[in-house]
Amino acid sequence: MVANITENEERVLLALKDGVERNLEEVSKTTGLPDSAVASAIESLSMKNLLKKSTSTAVFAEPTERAMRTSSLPEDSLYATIGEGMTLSAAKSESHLDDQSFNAALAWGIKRGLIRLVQVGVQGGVERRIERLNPPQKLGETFQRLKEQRRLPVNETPAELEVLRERQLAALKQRSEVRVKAGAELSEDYIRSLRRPTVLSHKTLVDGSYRTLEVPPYQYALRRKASFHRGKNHFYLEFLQMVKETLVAMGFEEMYGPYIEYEFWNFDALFVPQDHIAREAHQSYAISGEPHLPPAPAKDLMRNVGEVHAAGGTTGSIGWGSHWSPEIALRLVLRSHTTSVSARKLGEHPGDSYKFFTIDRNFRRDPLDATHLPEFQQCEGIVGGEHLTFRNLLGFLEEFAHSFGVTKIRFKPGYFPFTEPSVEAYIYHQNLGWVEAAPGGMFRPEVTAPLGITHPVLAWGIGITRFAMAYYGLNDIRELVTQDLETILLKEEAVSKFANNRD
Amino acid sequence: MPTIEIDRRTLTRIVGREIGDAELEELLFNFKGEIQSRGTSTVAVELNADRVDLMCSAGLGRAFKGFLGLELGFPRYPLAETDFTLDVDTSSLREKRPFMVAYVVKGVRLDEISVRELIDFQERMHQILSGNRLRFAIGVHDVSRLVSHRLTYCAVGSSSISFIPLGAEREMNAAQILAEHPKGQEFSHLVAGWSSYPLLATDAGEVLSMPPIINGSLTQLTAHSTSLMVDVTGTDLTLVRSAAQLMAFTIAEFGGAVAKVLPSGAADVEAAKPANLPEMREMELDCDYLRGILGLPLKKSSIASLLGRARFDSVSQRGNRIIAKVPLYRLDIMHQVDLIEDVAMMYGYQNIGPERPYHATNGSLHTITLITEGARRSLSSLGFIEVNNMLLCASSASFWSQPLDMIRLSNPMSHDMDSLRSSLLPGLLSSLTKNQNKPKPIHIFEVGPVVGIRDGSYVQSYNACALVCDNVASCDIIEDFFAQFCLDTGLTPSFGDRAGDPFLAGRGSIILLPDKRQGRIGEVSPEILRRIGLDYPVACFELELCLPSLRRLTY
Repeated sequence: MVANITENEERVLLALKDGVERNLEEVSKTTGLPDSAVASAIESLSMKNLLKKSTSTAVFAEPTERAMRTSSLPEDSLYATIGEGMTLSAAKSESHLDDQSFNAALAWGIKRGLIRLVQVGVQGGVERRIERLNPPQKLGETFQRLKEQRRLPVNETPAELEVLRERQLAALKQRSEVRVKAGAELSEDYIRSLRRPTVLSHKTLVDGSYRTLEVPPYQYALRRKASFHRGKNHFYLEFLQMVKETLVAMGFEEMYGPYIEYEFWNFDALFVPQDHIAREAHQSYAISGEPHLPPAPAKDLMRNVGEVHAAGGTTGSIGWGSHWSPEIALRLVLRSHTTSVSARKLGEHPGDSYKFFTIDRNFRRDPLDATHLPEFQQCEGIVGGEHLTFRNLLGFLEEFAHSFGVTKIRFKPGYFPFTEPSVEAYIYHQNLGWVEAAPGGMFRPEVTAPLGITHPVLAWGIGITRFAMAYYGLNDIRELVTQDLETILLKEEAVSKFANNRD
Repeated sequence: MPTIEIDRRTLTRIVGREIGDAELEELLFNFKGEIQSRGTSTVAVELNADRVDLMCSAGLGRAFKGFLGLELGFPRYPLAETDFTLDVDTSSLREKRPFMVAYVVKGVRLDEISVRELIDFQERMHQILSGNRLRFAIGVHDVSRLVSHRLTYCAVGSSSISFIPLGAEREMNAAQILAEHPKGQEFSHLVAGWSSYPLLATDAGEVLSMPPIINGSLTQLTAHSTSLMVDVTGTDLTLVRSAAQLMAFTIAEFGGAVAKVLPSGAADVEAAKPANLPEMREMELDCDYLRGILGLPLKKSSIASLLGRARFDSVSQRGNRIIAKVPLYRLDIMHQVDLIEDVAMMYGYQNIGPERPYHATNGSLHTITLITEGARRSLSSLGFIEVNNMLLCASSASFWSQPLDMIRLSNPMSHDMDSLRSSLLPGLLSSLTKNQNKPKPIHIFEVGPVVGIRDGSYVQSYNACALVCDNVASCDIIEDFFAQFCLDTGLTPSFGDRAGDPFLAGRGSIILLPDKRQGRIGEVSPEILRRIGLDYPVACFELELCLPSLRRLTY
């Protein structure tokens, strides 16, 4: 936009500069612009707050075609032409009306009390004569105004217009009328100033008119147009990416595992007994059909795990003391935690000094509500090597928390079937208080020994989804999987969140 | 995690002194618990499922006394002798519930509240350890009214059983109990198809219970009962012994002397001597191993003293070894690491200083992450908004033919999450329907996993899908974005056959990539758009960015 207003808008404003309210037709008459041009100029000016527009609905009378063909009401013509005491036949010839009109003129004249018919005794009989009574008044006047102005508001002369309507000389129409007036009394100078270019443009720059350009000061106020034609990464996935980079900086290597999983890796290798409540059908999802998921757990590994479950194997544990079924171990589930990936990684014998992590999806049969999603992300980490201790685990958790800007952390004893000792790290959140953030522990010998791991392995599995909620101040977990693009666009970049949360 | 109601006055009675709110919170923190809510004289406490022995005022009190140093080692419950005997007719019970262990606790002081707590505790044991009476069933009796002290546990035919069960007014036989009594109806599935039922009775015909269904009203427990008997029947002797011991020693916290009920004319006379109670498992603890695990340089004597706080008696051995005596009911102690955790808890997790080790390793992102990252960056910079949909999806939303066979769940929670997505497109189209009233054009994308079955085998693929929705969304528009996307991500695709579903005829094409990866690009067919309620044309592409294989155990 080069100027604040267009030429048409300028003409409309000039027509309204006295501050008087007018309707569209009046403005159109004054400016000489067609109605449609005036209407669009009014629309645009009212959006710029330069004029006030009001719309009202009213009933108007308009002359019919028949009215336009009629110069005046027949009874009025008759009244004007007849002399005192004129006979009916003389009046007819004097009035130049045809039979039909003359009869109508007589009927309406009598009805309106303009004339009356009298019978006078003359030679040879009785003669009919017209006598003038009262002169015609409002109706004829209204009829003439209707023809001149073409449109009359009904509420001014309702009775007369109703009579005209009955005589098919007027038609009633409902019309909405736009009335406008200038927002304030405007000087001609001011209106002219609105026409000058106010934005630097290619044209003003090149033709040199920028030298006389008067650019108004602009007040910034974070106005934002809702556009969905712009790029933005999803805040939650960006958040997860930042967590990944944090772990990589701490020396962790990323791993991925399958989403559908043998119960063996999801439960048995993690020393979760086969009758554990987490393995019941109402807790985890079972897979329909039998997709082939190679490679199946090795036979000797299965045997070792089965022995540990039954009586502790070679670990010194008493085991669960119950029957262990390889058939149950080979059933497929949708993995309920990423710890299955850690178990697989340990099964690969990754060496004698390592750190691994994964941040990925898990599935539980939780109903969807503000605090539960049946699918959520876990941040799983393992650290393996000789001489690693429980204190080291607490050290890792503390350092991890620090990288999120968390300074207060406390450790509570915890319980998980696959770790001992176990811990739950609580972090202090300024709005939420102490929040359970990081469950972890040292893998039990019953987990590591059958996999052939002889050194200590520190492990944790953080519910990173809840962490993200706290981070973004969300009260409803479903916002993380929102399909509303506006919600996604309104979120702060995760990288900025990280930066802003640092000390 | 189980939530239990604790009576503060009972807790005070057990511990021997008042425990304030803040102190209670701190103590629970150290025993894996927390306060859920407070009543006038009670608190609701949430505890972890591993320590059933803590799940009542008496059990928590016993543990707190140790933690606070008020009592160390296993509680010195007074031990009694008893003239009660119990004979188990194993042969008649073989296929049913062949094991029974019983204890007598004499001189107990109870009140209304402690009786209610003991019954709640018994139910909690049933739920957590027994699969709701499946593995064992506990009965607690007032035995003061019994004429005979000679008990028999055996299976008896239905018609020979007749007694007044708890909560009933009249004598009932076994069939009537199972059909009419509320507990009989609730637990009849545990004895379904049996012709005879387990019965605990005296030789004078007094019926104590018909395990695992219901007790007799003759031995009903009241606030005034002082002579109690605990019986536990079940299918697993270890569990039965543990549960009986836990119940008996929990009652013993309310005063009273404990005796185990033995068979009449017990050959094992030694076992009847009170000194042999309570029964313990011995577990060796290697102090060096403990120090290595915890990273704490604890002296052997400190370890023994911390075990005492955890209510374990222990005997020092030569070298670095300590023998810990583990009561049978501590079912959670399976390996010495479990003792080590108890030692750490008594030491106080707050007192274990976190220590960052020198453990140098190289960090790196997985190739899958790098590839998907590149695609995400390209598409967002091309003006697409990223959507995050779930892998769980409705099979009905993928009503056109899919590149992979969908994996379905055999126990879905609902129809809209009954399978796993094999393509990103249905989810993105669904996202679009929720936004089609927004200003056009709308450009959205998703990069993420899809799964399915190809040639009978599981496939896990990481896909990218981008979609343009506008008044006009034609091939050339999406082609332009796709071409730039390929430049950004280093892809050199070729175009294969025309693609049918889900595209408008003649307007879709197969994308061919190295390593048998595939994709599709085109204008979505109007029939599909109308069926999902979209009023605007859509053009899209989706392709397999990365198709990892499980050559080892992880990708």
